[in-house]
Amino acid sequence: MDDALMAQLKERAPGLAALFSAGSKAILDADDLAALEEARVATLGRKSPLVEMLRSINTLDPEERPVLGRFGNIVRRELEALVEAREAELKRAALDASLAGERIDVTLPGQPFPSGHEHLISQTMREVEDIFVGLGYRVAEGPEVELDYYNFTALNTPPSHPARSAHDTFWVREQREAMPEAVVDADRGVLLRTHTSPVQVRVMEQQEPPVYIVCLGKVYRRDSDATHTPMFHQVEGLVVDEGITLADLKGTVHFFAEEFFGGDRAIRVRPHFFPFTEPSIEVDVNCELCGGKGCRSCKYSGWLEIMGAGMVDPNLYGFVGYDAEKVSGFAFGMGVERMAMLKHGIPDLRLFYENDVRFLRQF
Amino acid sequence: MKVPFGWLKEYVDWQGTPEEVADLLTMSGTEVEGIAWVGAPRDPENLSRFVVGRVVTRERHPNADRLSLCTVDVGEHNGGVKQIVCGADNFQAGDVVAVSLSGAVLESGLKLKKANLRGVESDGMMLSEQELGYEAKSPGIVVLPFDWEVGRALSDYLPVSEAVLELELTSNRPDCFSIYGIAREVAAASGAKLAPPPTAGPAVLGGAPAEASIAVQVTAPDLCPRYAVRVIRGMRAGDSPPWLKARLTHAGMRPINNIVDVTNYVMLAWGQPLHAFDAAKIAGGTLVARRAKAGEKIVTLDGVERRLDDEMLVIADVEKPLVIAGVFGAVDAEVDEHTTDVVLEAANFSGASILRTEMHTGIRSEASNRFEKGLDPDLVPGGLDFACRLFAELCGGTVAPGMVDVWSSGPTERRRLSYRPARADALLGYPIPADEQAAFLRRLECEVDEAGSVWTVSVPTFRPDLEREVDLIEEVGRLAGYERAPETLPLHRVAGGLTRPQQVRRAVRRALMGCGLDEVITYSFIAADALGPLGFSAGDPRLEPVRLANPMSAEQAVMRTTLLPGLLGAVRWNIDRHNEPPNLFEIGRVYLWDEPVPAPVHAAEPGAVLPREPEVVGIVLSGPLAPEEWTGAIRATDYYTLKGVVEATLAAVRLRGDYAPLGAAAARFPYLHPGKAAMVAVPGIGMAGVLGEVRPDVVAAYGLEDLSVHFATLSGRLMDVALGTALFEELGAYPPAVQDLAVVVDKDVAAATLIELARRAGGKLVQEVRVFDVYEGDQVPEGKRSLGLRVVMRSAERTLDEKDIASVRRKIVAALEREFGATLR
Repeated sequence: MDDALMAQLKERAPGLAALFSAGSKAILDADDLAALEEARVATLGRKSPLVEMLRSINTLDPEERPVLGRFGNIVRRELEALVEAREAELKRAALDASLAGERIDVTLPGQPFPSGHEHLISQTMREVEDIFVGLGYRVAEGPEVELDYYNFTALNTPPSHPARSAHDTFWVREQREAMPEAVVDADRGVLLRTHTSPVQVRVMEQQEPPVYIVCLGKVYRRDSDATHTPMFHQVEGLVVDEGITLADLKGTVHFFAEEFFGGDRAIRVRPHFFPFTEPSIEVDVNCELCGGKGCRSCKYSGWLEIMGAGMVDPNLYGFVGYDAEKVSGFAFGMGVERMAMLKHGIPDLRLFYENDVRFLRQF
Repeated sequence: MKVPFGWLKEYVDWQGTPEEVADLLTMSGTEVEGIAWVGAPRDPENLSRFVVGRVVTRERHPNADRLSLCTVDVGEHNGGVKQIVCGADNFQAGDVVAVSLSGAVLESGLKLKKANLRGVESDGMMLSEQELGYEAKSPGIVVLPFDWEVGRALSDYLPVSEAVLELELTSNRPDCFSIYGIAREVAAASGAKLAPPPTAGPAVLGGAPAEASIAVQVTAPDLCPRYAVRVIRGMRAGDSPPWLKARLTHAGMRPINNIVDVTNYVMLAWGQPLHAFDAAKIAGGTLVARRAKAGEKIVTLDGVERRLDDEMLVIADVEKPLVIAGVFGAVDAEVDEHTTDVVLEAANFSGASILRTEMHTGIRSEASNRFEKGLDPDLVPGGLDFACRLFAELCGGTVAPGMVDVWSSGPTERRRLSYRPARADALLGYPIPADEQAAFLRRLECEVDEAGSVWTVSVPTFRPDLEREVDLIEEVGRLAGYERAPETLPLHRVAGGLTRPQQVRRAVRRALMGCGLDEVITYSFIAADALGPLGFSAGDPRLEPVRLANPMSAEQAVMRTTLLPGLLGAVRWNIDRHNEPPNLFEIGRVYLWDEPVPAPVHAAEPGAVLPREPEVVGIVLSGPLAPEEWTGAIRATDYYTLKGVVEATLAAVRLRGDYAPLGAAAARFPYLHPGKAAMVAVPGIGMAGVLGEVRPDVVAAYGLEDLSVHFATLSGRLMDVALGTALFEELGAYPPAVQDLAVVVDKDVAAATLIELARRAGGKLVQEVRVFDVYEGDQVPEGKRSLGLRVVMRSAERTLDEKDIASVRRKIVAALEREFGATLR
């Protein structure tokens, strides 16, 4: 009750003012819910002086009635509000006291929900796919057991090229069983693809330019040590369209390097040789670990080799019936494991295929 | 290839450092993998402490029989005459020697100090070839030519310290497999001046002409387009001079004797492999380049007897093969310490034939490594001249006039190509001025006729790789430097994206990870006997894997026909490393011959086929899905865990499976527990996979005793039907009514059958029927079990009342009783 109202009350109905003072004191003094109920009954109960007074208002002098009626009701409302407020206060205090007694060890581990891990190779391939899908590429797939034609011949690899030898390439025994070893060597039709490039040829056979594809998948070469496993994964990209240039290749590769490795990255393009591209290049990205100063990871060169690439050799267009004077294109290829190793600092290629969960769960 | 920097500088006027030339080469297409510094530490201060000296006096050490006490003149400016104690005895007073002064640091890191050796002061050291790094072991100090100037820096005469560039060469550039070839690259890439070829012949010729001593026949011109020899007489075989040993050693070859060393030196410098025959050992005075006879044998220099075939070229005399041509010599006609007269061969062999011979014999030599790339026949005369001059200078030989040269292919024409400078701009993506393009081509020793927009360019014979306009464009591009090309992105006219199956594959992977499984990738090849324990019956296509003709090991001999062995291998790897039993999945292909894929006619022999490569999802559970935790809640893995994983996976790609006992199909999955396995069918493709407990004996056969393993395999055909578009269903405004029924039925009545019947019998109002309890035991009769069914009913039009509910319940109970004799519990 504000001071002005209180002053009015004291002046015009001093009896009510006294009742209010006594009642509010009793309510505010109550220090538990039982005491509060007692105070409420004493102040606002049916037999309380206030209620009895209001009930007998008709017996009063008609001139006094409106004044006492109005002030009486004000006093009752105010007291009721005080009871409500005090009750809330006491309940909160009681709950606070009870909560204060409840304590758990919040440092114990949470309920473990199972959550598995995507193999790092899958993760890496997914990241690469997403980058190129964002650039407008489709993801193409093809067989792993492949024909010599798609793996070598149509990729401009000469018949005597060492890569075709039984030393480097896994050859498949044809379905006819029990061929003598000597025949197997001569009978070279079917092999395990040594790169994902045959997919490019298959796609070009199936569709006219423009072609914007990446092919990802398993490839196989006869090599096994800390830096080679007989099976590994490759990503290759192919673009064939009108007016494609080496500058487009550089721009694409730089975009990819920054998306994949993160940050502002520099690339370096060196001339190289591959049978299926002309000109051919190798691409390096600057080493973040040492900032280009040279460290073990970049063999003290400041650069990390990430891919081989180049402009599609016009001979390839001959195999698939494209017009080399009308379209041009670029292709690039990289090892998925190598990309993952560079990005995550993995020292040994074989870790990828041991499938030790202590390895799998790190990524 | 190893290129000593000092040697390279003999042929090109390069003013920069080794690091700079390495960078130049790398950025112009000849990758330098590294620079090795050999010899003494290279700072000029240190190198100035290696000088030419002359032994003034040599006496016996007063206190040691095996040591000499010498005075050595090292030149006025180096301190005059030094007293040096030496342990070697292959020299005398007056000899010119290599001296390292006190303070010099040797290759080994040893720093020389004035020392007291058995009571006598020694100030400096006379060096051996071993200490100079030219020989693995040397018996004494090196005695230098008498005319070397005393007091001069040794490095004026010998590479005391050398930077060796390690080059990674590409197979298309046979011209780069020589120091001179690399010098030519340096000149082309930098504009530095190239020295003339180092192939000047001997100043003096003498004796009978070559053809008086040797005749040459080539009976296999296809394998041997050119075969030429010269004759050198009166040679003295012996040690090579230090500079030659240094060059060979730094380039990675071992010095043998002066005759062999010269042939190797010329090969390294000029790129033409040579072979020196001892003329006295050539029967019949005739060399024949012929095909080997099938089964013919030769004992090569390493003492191994090799069987040859008739696709291999040998150089023979009238009796026997002397050399596997271009690859490896035999003992029979090699030069030795008694050799005086030499027939020197320089030949051109078919690269493809050399490559084949290398593969079949397993031999690779410095020479064959060059021949296999296909060398320029024009290298031949220069190589012979170069070597003959050195034979005359270093081995005391007299070079006979004339060369016997059988050149069946005839002189090589320079190739002439059309070239459009505008095409180069279009392919590289930026303009290079035409005169600049012409200048680059000329640096490569091309002749350029710049008339019009289509030029004519003639290519030197040592560049067989330049066959087309695009090859020249690459040359222009790389000499201009690819850093000059701008970076742009193609202007796309097509949209990217993943196909539906590719999206499903990702969703399946996410779902399986969500269940707590870790993804593995195992090798596609397995051991041939890895399929045995699975118990497939004869004729099963999974027993006829794709076999490798040349596997690397028996463990990786055939392509997998099922993911199970690979997954069990991954489980075992983890168990063996004391990891918790893992729960794994793999999405990969299996390889089957059951429905061979015909090869396109243009790509293979008629009738050629490829195997089918269906994609499969493999799931293996070997332990609890959630790790043990402090609240104590843990669920052991069983069939229902696996089924839950399969259900969750299908649900994630908007599919629902129907599960049924294997029944007749059990024979196709003999590795599964017959009573705890099911097949799952999916609308649209039918049978989509199997799941179940793996038989304990099968698990044990893979080295996993006492481990309970569950396995599921799902067909990749799911990818084709999954992730269909979901259509909205009304939520329903009225509350559901729920009725629980406990029905007792025979044990072998399948829950799915009861549920299906209850749904049908209950009618439209039934929204869902599910099992909430299964009980077997004392409370129900033997052979029976009680199933708690929760029936959820809902109407789209109104709140259901007691009558509706009772009616549905009655219909369900009646149907279950009628069909299965079910009673309410």
